[in-house]
Amino acid sequence: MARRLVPILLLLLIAAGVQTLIPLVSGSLTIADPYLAVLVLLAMRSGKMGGILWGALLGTVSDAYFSPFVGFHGLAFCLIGYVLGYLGSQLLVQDVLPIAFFGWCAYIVDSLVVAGLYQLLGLPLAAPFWVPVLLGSIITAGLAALLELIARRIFPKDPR
Amino acid sequence: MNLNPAARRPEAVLALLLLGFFVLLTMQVRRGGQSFLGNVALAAFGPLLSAYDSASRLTREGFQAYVWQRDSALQAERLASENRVLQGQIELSRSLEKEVLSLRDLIQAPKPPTVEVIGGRALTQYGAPFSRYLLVSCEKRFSIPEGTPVMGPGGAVGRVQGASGELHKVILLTDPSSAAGVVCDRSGVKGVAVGKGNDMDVRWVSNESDVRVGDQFSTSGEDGVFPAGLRVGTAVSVEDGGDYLKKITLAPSSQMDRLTWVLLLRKTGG
Repeated sequence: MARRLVPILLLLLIAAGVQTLIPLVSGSLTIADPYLAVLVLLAMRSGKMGGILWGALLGTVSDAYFSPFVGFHGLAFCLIGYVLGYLGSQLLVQDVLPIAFFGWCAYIVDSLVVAGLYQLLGLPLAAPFWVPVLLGSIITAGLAALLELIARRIFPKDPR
Repeated sequence: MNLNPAARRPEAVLALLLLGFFVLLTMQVRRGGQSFLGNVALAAFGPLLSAYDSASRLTREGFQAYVWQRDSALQAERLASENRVLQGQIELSRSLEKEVLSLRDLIQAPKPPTVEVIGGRALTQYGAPFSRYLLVSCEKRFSIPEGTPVMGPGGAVGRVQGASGELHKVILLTDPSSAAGVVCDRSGVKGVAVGKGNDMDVRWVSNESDVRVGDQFSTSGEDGVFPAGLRVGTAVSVEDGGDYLKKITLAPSSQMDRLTWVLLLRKTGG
């Protein structure tokens, strides 16, 4: 357990660091989500249940950081964590490109779910919506690939 | 399909969480603010948020400070470089200014009417300590004859003694072998100015003559070399001599060691 905890904490620390550095590049528009990138890695390694729980935790962190209400990203991350956990248990991913693709998809899905919830609850969406989403998805995909490379070095070997 | 309830646990947890989050969101939106759970989440992540804010601010400020310092250093380097260039230009302009002033004096100096004035560049003095010569560069086509008087911004300088191509050797008035007929501008007393190295003596002036310290002397025109009216120098010491002749020392009116341009006064037919 402790063998896995240290790498996870390290990844979260890296995510927090990246989140800190992003405003230097993009100003106040924090369009990338390093916590989602971390969720992709953790969910792929933890299965469905782990993915859901990590999604709930990291989604709540994202909400606490960036959302006016707690629950938008929590809900979306839970869903994404579940799907990625399922995919992780079914697929043996050897390259980082699929991880980048999952990161890209996860960002799009997260944005769509949050946007859908906004619409459902009658909240106004910020415009323009798609340009930041597409840009953020590309950056998050890159972050996921980068973090995956790091994770492969620090995580204990998978017995599979 | 696995119907074991334990195998369906993730889906159940997911459904519960989705429902929980949705209910939480609905409650928050209806209230128009943070719910209790939202506040709890914020309180739980408060230290992390503060740390994030502090780290973000510190990093941003540090980065900005670094950029500012780097820009300042670059600007300082650029300014220092500009300063060096400007210093060089100032030095250059100083020498140019001197040259312009010298040329202006030369142009404005009174010139005898019966001579043709030809400009020449003073190159170097040589011959010290035994003699005082000046090399003057002047276009070959002018064909300057030997004995042609030369004047600078302050007045007479010397006469041409030889030429080789464009270069002309000018023996200065301060050379011990040089002599010129002079006249005191104030009293009209005449004499002969003979070079002494850095200054001149005025010889053949009797003790009874009216010459004082500060009197200006000009060429008299009686030596057959220098035209009349060129300033030669100022009397800096006047003493009565034992041989009935005054001992008068003249300081040359032209600064012989700082000549840059001179005029060669070639005689015309008139």
